[in-house]
Amino acid sequence: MRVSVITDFFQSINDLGSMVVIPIMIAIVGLIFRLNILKAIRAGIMVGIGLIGLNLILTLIWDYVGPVTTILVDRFNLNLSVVDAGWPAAAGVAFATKVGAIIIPFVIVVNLLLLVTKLTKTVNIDIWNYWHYAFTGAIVMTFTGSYVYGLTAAAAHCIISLKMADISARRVQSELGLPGISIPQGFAISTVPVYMLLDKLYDRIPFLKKRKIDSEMINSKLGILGEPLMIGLVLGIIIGIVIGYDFKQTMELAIAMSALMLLLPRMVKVIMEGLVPISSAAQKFMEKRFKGSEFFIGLDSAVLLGHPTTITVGILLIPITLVLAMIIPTNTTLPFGDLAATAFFISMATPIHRGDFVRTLLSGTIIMAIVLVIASIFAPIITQTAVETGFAFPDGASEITALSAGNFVALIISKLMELKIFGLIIVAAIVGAVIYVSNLFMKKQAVAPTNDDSEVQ
Amino acid sequence: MKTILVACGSGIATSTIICENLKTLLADNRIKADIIQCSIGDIEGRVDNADLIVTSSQLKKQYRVPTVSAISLLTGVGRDDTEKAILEYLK
Repeated sequence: MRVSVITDFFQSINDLGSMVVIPIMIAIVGLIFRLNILKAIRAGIMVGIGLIGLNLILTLIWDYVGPVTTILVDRFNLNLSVVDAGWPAAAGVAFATKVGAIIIPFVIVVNLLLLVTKLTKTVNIDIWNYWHYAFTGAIVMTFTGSYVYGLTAAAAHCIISLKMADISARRVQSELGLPGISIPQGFAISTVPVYMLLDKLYDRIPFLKKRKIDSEMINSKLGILGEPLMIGLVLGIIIGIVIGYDFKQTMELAIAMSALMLLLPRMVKVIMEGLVPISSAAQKFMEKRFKGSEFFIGLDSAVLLGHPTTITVGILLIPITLVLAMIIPTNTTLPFGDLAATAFFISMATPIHRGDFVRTLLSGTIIMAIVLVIASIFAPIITQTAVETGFAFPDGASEITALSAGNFVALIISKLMELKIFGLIIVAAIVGAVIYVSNLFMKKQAVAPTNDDSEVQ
Repeated sequence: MKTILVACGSGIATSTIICENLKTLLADNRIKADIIQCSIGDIEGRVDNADLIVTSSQLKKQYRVPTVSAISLLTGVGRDDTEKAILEYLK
C-alpha cells in the first residue's frame, strides 16, 4: 500500500509538467543553498521563463529549417533529416528534465565525495556545464525509465570529467598562464584522450613537426563572419540558393536562421540568469571548503577560447563541418546551431598541441567527424527526451540533436546503461579504470620534469 | 559614461557571472557604466564604442582599449586585484 502512495505522489508531480515542476525544484535547491525565499522563488521562475522562451524559439526551427531538411532528403538524396539545434537547446532540455532539476546539488555531493577520498584534485565550480552530466543522465532515464540509472549515469560522466580535468590540468595551466585551474567541462573532457593520442601520432609524422603558420592573419580576414547572426544569415542564403528557393523564401530562411542564432542563446541566458544566485552560492560553498594550492578550480572551457589558434580554427571548422556532414555516410545531422560554437570543440586541442595551428585544425576536423556521427545516433533519444520533458513538437517535425551533445563518454555510458544492471556494473568498472589509469598518469607526470612548458607561445 | 564589453566564448555562460559581479562592484562604488555582454568573436565589431574589455579568457590579441582578464571573478582567487584594476580603468 505504501509503495502505491509514493508512486501516486510522484505521478501527480509528473502530471504537473516540467514548466511547473522545474521552477519549484530550482527554488527548493535555492533554499538548500540558503537563498532567502523570495530570491529562491525568483530563481525558479526565471528558469521557468527561460524554458518557455526556448520552447517558443524552437518553433522557428520547425517552421523554417525543418522544410529545408525535407527538401535535402527528397530532392538531393542527402540524408540530413535531423536539425542540429545547438547547445542552448540541449542545455535547456537537459536542465528541464528531472535529472537536470537536481543536478546541481547532486554533482556537488559527488564532487565532495571524490575530494574527501582524494580521488580528484578538481573542485568543479562550473555550474552551467553541469548540463552535460544532466544530459547523459536524462537520456539514460529516457532509455531505462529509471531515475536511479539516470543519476548513476550522470555521476559516471561527472567522475570521468573530474579525472580528465586532473590529467589535462598542467597543459591547461601553462597555456593560460594561470596556476590552480582545470577544465572539467563535460564535452571538452571527452576530447582530451583523443587529442593526446593524436598528438603522439603527429610526433611521428615528419611534415607536422615544424609549424609556422600565422593564424592571426587568417583570423582578421574571417573575424566578422564568426559572429553567430552572420553565420545564420550566410548559411541561410547559401542553403536557400542551393535548394532553389525564390528570393523571398531565401531571405525568409536566412533571416529566420540568423534570428535563431541570436535568440536561442538569449533564451538560455534567461535560464542562466535564474541559476546565477544558486551558482554563486554553490561556488562560495565549494571555495570555502577547498581553497589552496593542492586543489584545482574547475572552470568552463570558455576560458581557453582567447587563443588565436582556437578562434581561427573554430571559424575554419564551420565550412569543414558542413562538408563532413555531406560526405559521412552515417551522418543524418544538418549542422546548424552549434556552428556558432565550433571553437568550443577544439578548446582542449590548442593547449594539448601547444598552439600548433596545423595539428589543431587536423584534430578539429577529426573530432567534428566523430561528433556528427554521435549526434546523429543521439537524435531520436534527444527528440524523445525533449517531447517527454514537455517541449512542443508539431506532428511530422524533424528530429533535433546538438553537436555539443555528441561526446562519446555520453554515448558509451548511455549504450551500456541500456543493459540495465549488467551495464551499470560495466560502467562502474570503466569509471574505476579511468580513476586508476589517470592516477598512474598523474604520478608519471609529477616525476617528469616540466620541460615542455617553455614551448608554449 | 563609459562602456564595458564583457566577453566570453559564447557570450552567455561565464560572461553572465562576470557581468553580475561587475554590476555589484560598480554599484558598490557608485559608478555608472554601460555593460555590454558579447562573445569573443563579437569584440571586433563592438570595440569602437567601448572603453574597457573584460574577458573570461586571456586574449592574445591587442585592442586599442585596455583589456582585463577576469578569470579571478570566476575562481575567487585574486579577485581583489582584478576589481582594483577594473576600477582604476573606469576612473
